[in-house]
Amino acid sequence: MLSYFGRANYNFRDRYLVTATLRFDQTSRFLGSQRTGTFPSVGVAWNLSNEEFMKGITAVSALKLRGSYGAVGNQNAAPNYGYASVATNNQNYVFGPDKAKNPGLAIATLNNPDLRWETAVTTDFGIDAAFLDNKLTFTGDYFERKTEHMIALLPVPNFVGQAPASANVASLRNRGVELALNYRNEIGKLQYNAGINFTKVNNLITDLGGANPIASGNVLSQIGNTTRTDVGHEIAYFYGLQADGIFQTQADAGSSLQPGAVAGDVRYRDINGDGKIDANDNTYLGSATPRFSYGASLNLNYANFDFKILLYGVQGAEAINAAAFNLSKSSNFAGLWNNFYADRMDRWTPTNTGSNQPRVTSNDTNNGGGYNDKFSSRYVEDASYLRARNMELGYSLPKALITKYQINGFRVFASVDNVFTITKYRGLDPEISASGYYNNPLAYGVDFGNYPQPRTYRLGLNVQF
Amino acid sequence: MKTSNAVRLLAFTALVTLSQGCQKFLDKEPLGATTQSNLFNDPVNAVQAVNAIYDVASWDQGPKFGVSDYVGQTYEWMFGDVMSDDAEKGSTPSDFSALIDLKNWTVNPSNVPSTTLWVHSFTGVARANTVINNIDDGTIDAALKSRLKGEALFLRAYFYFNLVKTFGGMPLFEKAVLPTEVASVTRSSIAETYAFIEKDLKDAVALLPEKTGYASADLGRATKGAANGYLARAIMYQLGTDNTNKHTWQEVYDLTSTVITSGKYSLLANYAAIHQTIGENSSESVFEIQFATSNDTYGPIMTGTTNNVFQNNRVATKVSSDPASANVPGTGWGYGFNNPTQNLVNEFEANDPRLEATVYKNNDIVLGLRETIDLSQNATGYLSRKVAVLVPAANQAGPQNIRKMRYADILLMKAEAAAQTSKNAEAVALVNQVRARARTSTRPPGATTVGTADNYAPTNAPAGTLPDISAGLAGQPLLNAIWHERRVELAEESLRFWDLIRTGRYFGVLPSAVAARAMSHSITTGVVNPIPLLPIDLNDAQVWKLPQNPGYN
Repeated sequence: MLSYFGRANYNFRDRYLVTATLRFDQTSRFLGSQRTGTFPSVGVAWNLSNEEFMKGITAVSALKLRGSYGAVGNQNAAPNYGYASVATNNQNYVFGPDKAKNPGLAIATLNNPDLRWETAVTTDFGIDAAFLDNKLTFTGDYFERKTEHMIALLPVPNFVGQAPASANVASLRNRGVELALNYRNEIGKLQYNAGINFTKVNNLITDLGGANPIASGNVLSQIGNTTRTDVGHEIAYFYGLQADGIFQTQADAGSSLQPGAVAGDVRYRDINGDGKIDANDNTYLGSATPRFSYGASLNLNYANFDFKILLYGVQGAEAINAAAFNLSKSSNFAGLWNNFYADRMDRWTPTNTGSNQPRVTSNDTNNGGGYNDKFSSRYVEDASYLRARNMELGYSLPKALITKYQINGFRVFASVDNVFTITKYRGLDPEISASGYYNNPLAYGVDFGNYPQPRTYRLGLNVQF
Repeated sequence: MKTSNAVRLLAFTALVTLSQGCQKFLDKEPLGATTQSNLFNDPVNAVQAVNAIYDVASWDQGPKFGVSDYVGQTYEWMFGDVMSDDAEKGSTPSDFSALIDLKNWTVNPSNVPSTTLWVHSFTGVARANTVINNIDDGTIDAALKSRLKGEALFLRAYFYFNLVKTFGGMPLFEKAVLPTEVASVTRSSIAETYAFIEKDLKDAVALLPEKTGYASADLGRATKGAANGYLARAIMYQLGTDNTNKHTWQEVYDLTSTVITSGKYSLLANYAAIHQTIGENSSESVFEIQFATSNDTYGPIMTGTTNNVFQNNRVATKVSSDPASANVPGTGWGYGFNNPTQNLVNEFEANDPRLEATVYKNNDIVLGLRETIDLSQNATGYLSRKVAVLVPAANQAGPQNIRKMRYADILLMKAEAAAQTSKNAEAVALVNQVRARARTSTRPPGATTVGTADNYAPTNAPAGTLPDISAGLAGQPLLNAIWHERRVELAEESLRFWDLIRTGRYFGVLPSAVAARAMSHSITTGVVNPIPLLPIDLNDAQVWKLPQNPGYN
């Protein structure tokens, strides 16, 4: 990686501020003409509170309007040698009467010499304001981030016989608002600082370079593709059959569009109305992109005690509980997994009708066979949550007590990370990394049994000399 | 002022020069790695590129493409034996239900053995194409170049043959398929696919050495004989399924004759030794997939096979509280799949020594160990002795080569071709050659005494056992005798399913409901006999719009 950059600052009496930067970045991960990225950015701000006409308004302690435009390049999603067809070794085979191990070399992964910089162009308009002698502060932003040439694994059919290469697969746009409000004050010896924030982002794929919608999210054997990325929708939305309960009676099953279905089998909706249930009935089932996210924090100080708590929440996000796919099997129940969700105890049986859990069978003939264990809306769950990320209680010894020991500060604290989570999600952890499975953003929100965040308890001691 | 300008100019020049220098430092050939561009300029790398194709032929599970996600197990017997009247799924009733789906033709496009066969076969095709498309530009020795290209062509045909006989007409890739081209890929017909396979095999015949042309350390590589043998098999399958290419039995006769007159092959004296270590790459071996046990038990790095652990005995007497007992010989270290049927056992003539060499039952001694067959974990009371081995270094790393084509098969193919072209006496003589060897077989090794693994005891079969077939046989009775001989001689060697299909007998051996389902997935027009097809890969059918086979959605 080789970079040049320049920066210019202009500041007129702390009222008008301009910052401009220009970067040239070059990386060994891309070839020749794709190697250099040019990334300009400029920011302007108007510090209204320093203007003469604001001097008289004492309720407003600070007011600033901001605007910025900037581009940054991202090469992190690109593999080191994604442009070259590198051979993978250890493709061993045996020859000869002594059964000697003979090493082999294969071009097991596709390459992409056209790979280039992913660029994020962000435009932002913001306001910073403070009132009541800086006790109440407010920050608001409206932003639009356009990601051009997003780097992701470009899925290829299995008949290609090689693993997919990274490619500049899509352009997308994130548009949203961020609001934060903070208030601090004191009541006697109690000092407090409370803040809330709110973020809403609207994510939209704007361009696939004319290519077909990208199917991805095939993170577990037998589940097949679970996400689709297409122009006009958010990235990697969940795409599959819409389940419509369980056939409660043989009559229901027999008169359905699913040949071979019997009572206790899963019913699906004929979305395209062609009188049969197949892949053409796959439809939008939600996505991991939340409707909004929010947070809150509270800091308290009383005498030598201090306390803080940090909350974070996401609303209107879904996740594919892909692990549940294997823990809720109807027919392949002794394949690779032997455990089940307890819900399966309540599965449909001739004597337990009314259940929303399909029957267990070794001969799944639903819709010609195998349709009880198909990826569908049954595995898409509400992944909204509210989580207490951190809580900490501290006590500092009084200064007077410690200064004679040449100690400036002495504080003990107890802290808990990931204190509690309120969610309806049944998987291990509703907070599923946005980078997804194997760093593939097209598997965003597909929970293949991610390692959940641990709850961490800490006891600490800070001593300053 | 003047100086200052000069300094600036100098600094600017330095910067420009420096940045050009730095450009070069960004031009990186991957360090310590081999790329497609230099693979064939070095004989060691070129050989290794071909080894990596063979490696795919030895895979029985993931990772996909050798580098990616896990895909489940597949073995040729899951189709060749379990889908026929020769074997039941076996193991505990619920284990690996994907095999029940195959057996019952309730299979769907996400069926694990089918999907993995699809993925692996195309991985093999891609690796073969890496060699076929690039080796001509390499700087290695011309003789090595043509041999390696011949091996790659043979293997591309081998993978396509496995695909066409399971899934029908395939997308045909003479060159590595580029991601930009995938949307326009479509399936060719069965006849076109076979024509593609035949062309590769004919080219391979021209390029490959005979078995004796290889150094001993290269034993197991594809040979001229193997390419001719597979060409004969591919034509024979077309003769009974889709013969749009207008092949004749005379071609099968000529190709098998070529293999026979090459003088490179003969029947191993003792039938009971064919599947033992001593029988590996023997005079009877035309092509086999090579394995060696080791502690690597997963991925391309492994040299062993899970084929043995899947088919060896699974016994309830295993003490679950003692993990070590799982590895004690004779206490069921296997999974117990692929159980030979009573129907197959009944096919053997009285005292045929091949029966004991093919199956074992409860309380039989196998390789010096008394085997207890627990019927709650076995479907028929039988297991295949042809894959019985002692516990390998690692359970998942079986050492046994898988015989894919034997000289006995060449003789019986020629017998069938002779019978079909009215050379009846010659056909009878060929069958009798196979029977004569079988007649003098010993009992399988380690079958008499607990603790003795390797003694070959005599069968003491009464005189008149396995008599020659009658010299006067002709027409259908002669064909029936040949088909009978194929079934018992090649039992549990993954050939029965396709033999039944190409001879028009498949649907007749199935229960009627299963036959009806199989027929709903068959190509029935313009064919010699109906060709039942398994579903192609779900992903490639749904996402990439490759046409699916009949009756699947």
